[in-house]
Amino acid sequence: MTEYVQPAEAQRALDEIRSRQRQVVAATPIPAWFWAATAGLMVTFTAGIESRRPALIAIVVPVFAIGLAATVLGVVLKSRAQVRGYYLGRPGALAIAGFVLVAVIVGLGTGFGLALAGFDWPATAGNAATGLVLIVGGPLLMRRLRRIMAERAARSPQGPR
Amino acid sequence: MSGETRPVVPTVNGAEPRFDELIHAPTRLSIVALLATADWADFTFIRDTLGLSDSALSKQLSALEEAGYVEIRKGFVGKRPRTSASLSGYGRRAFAGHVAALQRIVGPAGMTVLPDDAS
Repeated sequence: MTEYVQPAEAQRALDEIRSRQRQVVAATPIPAWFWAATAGLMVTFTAGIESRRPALIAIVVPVFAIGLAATVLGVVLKSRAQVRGYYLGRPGALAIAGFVLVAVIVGLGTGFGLALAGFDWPATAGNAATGLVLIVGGPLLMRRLRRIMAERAARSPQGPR
Repeated sequence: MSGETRPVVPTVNGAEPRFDELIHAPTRLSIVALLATADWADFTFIRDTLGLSDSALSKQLSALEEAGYVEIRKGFVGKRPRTSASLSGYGRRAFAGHVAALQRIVGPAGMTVLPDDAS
């Protein structure tokens, strides 16, 4: 059969494969609202705890738990395809690890720094800083991961062996 | 000095080139390419991405399922039925062989699409 397929047709088929792979990679991001929702829940939770008011704590704890579950569930249920982990590879894992590291350092740095300065709500401020990293950095991370996955898919259209 | 010669099966990017007529049909090629990149994909995602009707996609998926290339899963999300498809191990090997065959046909230009060894 291969003798009947011309190079131009084979090239078109390979282009089609790459194009479809890019569509899958582009269609499976974590939406921007996820980062904002997570940041909002974190700050609300911490502020409630730091208020030291039992009534407020009794409200924010279930709000945080239910809100987080609903947020994660919303992303999972709306997901229409799952890209193979292979396409993330080491560069993707490093990008995620770097993002987490920055979020932790910013949050802890802000929190402990303000605690040392005598600020009354250091954990809330620390989580607000982390939330800002999530809101700004989350979509950037997703863009980076999509690029990594698209590049790996283009290099290896048949996937892992 | 004539030693026994063994046939050499050339590989392209680690896969033995094997042109697959079932996969090469345009619509099925698109479906398999989508599924090859994913662990699974929702029926509606494939349908919308490729601009197919429900019946056309069902027909193509059935053909791929009969060949053992695709696995179909049906479930529910809440009260809504949800159908997803994934490429089987056999289907992934067939796809890899088909891509290798296409790359061999294209020749040196196609060979620029080289995978890295990290997998």
